[in-house]
Amino acid sequence: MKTMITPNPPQTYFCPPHIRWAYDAACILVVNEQTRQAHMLVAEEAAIWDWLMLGYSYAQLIQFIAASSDLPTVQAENHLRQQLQTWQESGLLQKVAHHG
Amino acid sequence: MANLAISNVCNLNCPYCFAAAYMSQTIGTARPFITIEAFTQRLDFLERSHISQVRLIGGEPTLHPQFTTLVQLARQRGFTVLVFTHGLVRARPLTCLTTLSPDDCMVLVNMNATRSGSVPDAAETAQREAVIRQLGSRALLGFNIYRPQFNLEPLLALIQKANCHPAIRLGLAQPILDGANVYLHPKQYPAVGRQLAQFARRAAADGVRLEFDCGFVRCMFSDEELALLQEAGADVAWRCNPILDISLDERAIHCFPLTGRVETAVAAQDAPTLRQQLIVQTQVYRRAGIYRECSFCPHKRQGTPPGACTGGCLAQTMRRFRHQNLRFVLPAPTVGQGCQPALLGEIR
Repeated sequence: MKTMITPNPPQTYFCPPHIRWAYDAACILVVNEQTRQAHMLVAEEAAIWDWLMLGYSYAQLIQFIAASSDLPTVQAENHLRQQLQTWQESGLLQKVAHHG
Repeated sequence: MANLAISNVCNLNCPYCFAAAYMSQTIGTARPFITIEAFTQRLDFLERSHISQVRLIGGEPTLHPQFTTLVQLARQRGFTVLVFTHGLVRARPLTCLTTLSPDDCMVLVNMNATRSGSVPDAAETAQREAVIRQLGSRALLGFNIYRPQFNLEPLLALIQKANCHPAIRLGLAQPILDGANVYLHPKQYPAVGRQLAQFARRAAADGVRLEFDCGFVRCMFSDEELALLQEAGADVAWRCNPILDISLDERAIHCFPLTGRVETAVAAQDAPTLRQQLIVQTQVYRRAGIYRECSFCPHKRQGTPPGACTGGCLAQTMRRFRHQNLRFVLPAPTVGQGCQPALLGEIR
């Protein structure tokens, strides 16, 4: 029997209620009502945010990024993970705490 | 400047009413009118804020059963009085106002307030005009623009006939942030701008000045239209600041359209302190504006005469922002990843 080693469990992200955003002419403007900071997302970052908020799955996002940036899927996935990490660090997304 | 709500009751039904959310919050839960004791505290607040004018709002302030007493209290303490009314004022409060000197009392009459939920009918118009004739130079006519077609000509005639204050206060109907009132969509602003520029010239010929309330934006006027307005002496400005509407339950609200979202407790603070708190609360939204182009607009960033554009009404701007109850599962990375996507699902 093979043993599957997963160093980390799956993570669920959510968008906290104090995060609101609007489409602007040349960016997506995301505001954090708690920290009172505004973030201007442009270019690919804005596209990923848009796809994310439209409810596309992880796998679909990777396909979109790979297609739009002409990247192999492995790099597209790494890019997506980095982006999510960045948004988590800036408070735009939060991780759901996993128990047990 | 701060507005004191003294009545949560109004007997009209204007389709654009931006106080509807404020009034509905208090139905059945609070006293509909301010008490004398609370009003005295509000006057204390104005004094410690070095504000010399009492601005009475509602609902309809003249429906307060002790309206005359409130006005007298304010006058005894040396305040001038400004009343925001729908104009269908009953005899007793009207007598109270007409006994005051025009130097001490101004009454801003909303000329398109109505019971019908549409436009004022003939009876309402006649009653309002009778009230305005009695108010004379105490009356300042106001008009809320909530549709791209409107007619201000009758106001010019009335100003002459009733010897009113020679100005018209113009408001753009703005949306309640979480509400459903009728308001002017920003796409309709340029059409309104064209009409106002033409009308300003007509008004100036009659010696009447146009005054702009909050929410106007620079780009609703062409350069030529703006020049026309300035030539006509109009008070053109791009305002959106915390007005400070003080509610019956002692909240300082940025303005009625933002009831429940941008407010703070009055407590023992003064108006500048409260205003600063509300500015801090809303600062994060100020980068944006009512249009998608606002955040990159030179009128907003650098300012153009007669002052930098604020990007329009904050409630209108904040309505552009949305929140998404997103939950997104990120699979565990496989060993040695870089990654192979676990499963590529079907694309919608």
